[in-house]
Amino acid sequence: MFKFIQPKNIENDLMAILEGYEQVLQQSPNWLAEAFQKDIIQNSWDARVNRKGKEWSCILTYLPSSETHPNLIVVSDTGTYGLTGRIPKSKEEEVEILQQQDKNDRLAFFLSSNWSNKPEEALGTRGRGKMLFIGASKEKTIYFESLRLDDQEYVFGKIFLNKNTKEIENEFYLGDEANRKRREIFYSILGNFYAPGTRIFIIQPEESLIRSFLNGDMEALIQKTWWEILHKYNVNITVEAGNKKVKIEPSSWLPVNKVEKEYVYDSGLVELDEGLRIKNISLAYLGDKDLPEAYRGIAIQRGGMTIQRIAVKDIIDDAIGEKIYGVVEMDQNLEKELLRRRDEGPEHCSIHWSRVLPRKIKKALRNQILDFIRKFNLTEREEKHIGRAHKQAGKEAEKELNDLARKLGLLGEGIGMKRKTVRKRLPDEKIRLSIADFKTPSSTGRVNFGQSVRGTYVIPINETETQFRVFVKVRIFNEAGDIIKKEEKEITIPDKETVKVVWEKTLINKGFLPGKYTFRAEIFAGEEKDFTVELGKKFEKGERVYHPVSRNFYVEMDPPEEEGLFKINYTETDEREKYVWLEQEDRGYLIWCNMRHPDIKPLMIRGEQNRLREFLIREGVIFLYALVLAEDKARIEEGKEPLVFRKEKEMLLGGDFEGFLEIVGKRRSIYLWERRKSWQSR
Amino acid sequence: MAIKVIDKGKVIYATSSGLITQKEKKKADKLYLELKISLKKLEESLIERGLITPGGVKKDALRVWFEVGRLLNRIGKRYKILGSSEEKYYWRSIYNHVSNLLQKEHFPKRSEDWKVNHFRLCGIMAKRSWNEVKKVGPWSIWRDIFDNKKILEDSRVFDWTVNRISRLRNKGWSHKKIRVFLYAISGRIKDLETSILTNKELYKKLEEIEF
Repeated sequence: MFKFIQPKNIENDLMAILEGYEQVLQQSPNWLAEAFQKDIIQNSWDARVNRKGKEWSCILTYLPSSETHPNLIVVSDTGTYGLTGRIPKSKEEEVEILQQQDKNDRLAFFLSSNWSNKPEEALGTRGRGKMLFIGASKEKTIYFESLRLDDQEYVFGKIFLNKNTKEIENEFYLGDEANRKRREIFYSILGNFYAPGTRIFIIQPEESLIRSFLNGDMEALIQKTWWEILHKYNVNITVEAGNKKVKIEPSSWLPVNKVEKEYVYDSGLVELDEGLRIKNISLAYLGDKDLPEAYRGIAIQRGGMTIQRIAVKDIIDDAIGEKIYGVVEMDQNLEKELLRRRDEGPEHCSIHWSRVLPRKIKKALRNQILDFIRKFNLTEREEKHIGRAHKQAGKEAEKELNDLARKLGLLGEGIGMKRKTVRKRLPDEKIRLSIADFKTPSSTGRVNFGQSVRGTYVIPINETETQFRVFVKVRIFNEAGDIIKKEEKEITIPDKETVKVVWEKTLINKGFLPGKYTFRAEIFAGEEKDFTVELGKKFEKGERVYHPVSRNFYVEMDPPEEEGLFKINYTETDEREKYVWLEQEDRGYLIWCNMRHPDIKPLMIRGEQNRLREFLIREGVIFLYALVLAEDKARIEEGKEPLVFRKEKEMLLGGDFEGFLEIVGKRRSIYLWERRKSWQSR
Repeated sequence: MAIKVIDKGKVIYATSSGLITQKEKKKADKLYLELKISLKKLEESLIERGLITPGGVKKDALRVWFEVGRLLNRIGKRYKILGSSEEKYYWRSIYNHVSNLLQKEHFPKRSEDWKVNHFRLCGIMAKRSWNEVKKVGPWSIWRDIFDNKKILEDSRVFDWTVNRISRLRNKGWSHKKIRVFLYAISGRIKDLETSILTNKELYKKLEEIEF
């Protein structure tokens, strides 16, 4: 038997990784500089000792070739841990260390490829950055030195691509030997290390990288990527080239309120899922002001770095999008979850927007942008009214599309984002309201005269060690908002006994007219209290402590059928790109129809309502199948079975745009064929 | 007491208890008639004074809605409806009396919530003197204030906001700036139950708002 490890051409892998960066940065002429600053600074920022970057610095220097050395780019950081941890003496030892995934073994991980020890919330977690640094060197060689915080040991070495074996090799020295070796190679270039930190030397860097140091692009790239930490912590990132030394100043374009004071918007916390929240979405409308290209769109932030900027026009499909820009900041749990699910591209320059969690982020973002637009009346699009016959035809189209959506399972767990989800208790909320005992006689929520709704109370819960005075408000109200019953209580929790606020049961008597009712409870701080240690926050008196909880019931009636997924709206605009298009709403989709479009105008005249209906169905079915396709694709990626495109499963995984278009087109054709046939047979 | 409301062509004597006596019915009829006549008269007077054109264009919307609100407050007070459990029906019934001149849309959806019924809001505005109302600014500013449910919810917050806007307008603040100010207030109190705060606590929070 012969058994051995396959020889591997790492040079090809290296090139593929570089191409990956180039592709994700959309072939920008500065792609290498952009990726380089992102990766090198994120490596350094992840290794900072102080969370807020106190005493952290990162200096990027370009040193033109001289008699003593070739062209060099040197990146030095301080205020970091340095390359700490166990020192591997062989490949086998290194693998053993790597397998233990100890985050303190920074040296071992630095000396490896495609291994990373960083916790999930760290910026770089795929170990690709080092490959980029090697790739940025024409000689495919980098040197490094580090003074380690843990044992104050000095280490110096080299990582390079062996042109013969096509493997990446490491060579490093410790202590005096390291010092000697460094003097041999870089004697007169840079001073000794006196504080823990790391320095990386890129030997013979690529021309485009050098150019970015000389023409100021590097500074601009750093400023737009790292604006958050520059703004929040005023950190020291410096770029040096020749005699020029520039400390990067916080950007004057972000946060958005630096530019715009009036038309600005902050969403506050936006909950996406249990325990996963967007910390804030800030938006600004610029009106006539000009914004540099680099800042256009919505910056998706993670750990202080801009991962990607997404064009607003791609989110809301409205011309006004070009005048809006902003920032999405995620909370730590959401950042961790995105990384855990690998929803972020390995280059840390993109998000896989078609996946489940990113889609939720995009949806939340879209809703906030629409709220912002509504709040400041920024858009003039309005729904136009149409004649009764046409309206009826539109309703019929709407119904058919909704029936089909239901049939295809779009209202189920799939795009059932449409369905209002009952918010569950977040796992980390120690102070909360429990409404668990609420029960109507019928599981549909119906309750008749003489019957009772049980458990119309909430139990305020406090699992912290601190007593807390709270104010609990409970209400039962009808659809018009008229309050039928109410009660308010100020209590201290935890108490010796469980406190129920307030009615064990609610008898449905003549005070209730037939209709929908809501039982709702809220909890507020009845005193100022510092929970910094236990919950990481303080409550001011009167502040909402937990989100409102509510349940609906229906007196003498069955709950109405769920609304459809689609609603058809009509508008008039001269924007040529507006024909029939889809807009996502909080609980479904609007199909907009531009009555001024020359192709649609003839359908709006008297007597043409049937043609309008058929037209809307033909168009709507495309959207519908496209939505199912997106949903199925996400399901497959999550390891679930697709709802509709079962036969096309393989294709959905690896398919391209043309392929998707083709299968959507086919499905539409089949649907329209069957529909016509069943019509004719009637 | 009951309030006579015409809903989709059907006459309803609305009461919160669902019960009605003959006496109450008579009183409701009387109120109905009084509202009809008084509002008609007011409309004529508004046209005569040039505040409204015969085509229904409001030349001074603020004055128009102020006068409507003042009249409705007066009648509502006389019949002891304001503050009673029938108040919501009272505001609803006004749509049966005003003509297209005043209110083009018959019964707007937003008025279904009686707390933001347009005429109730006019009534809230008209609790102040005309001079005070003017100081706040045009109807569009009042509309913006009323659009913030949280501000309306607590009369102390509402009064503080109105008084503060009067002062800011006096300093030359534009409508756009006022809008930002309102946004800052509602942002500050959106997660607060202000009713449990003492005056001192509440005003301290309001005074600390940065915008």
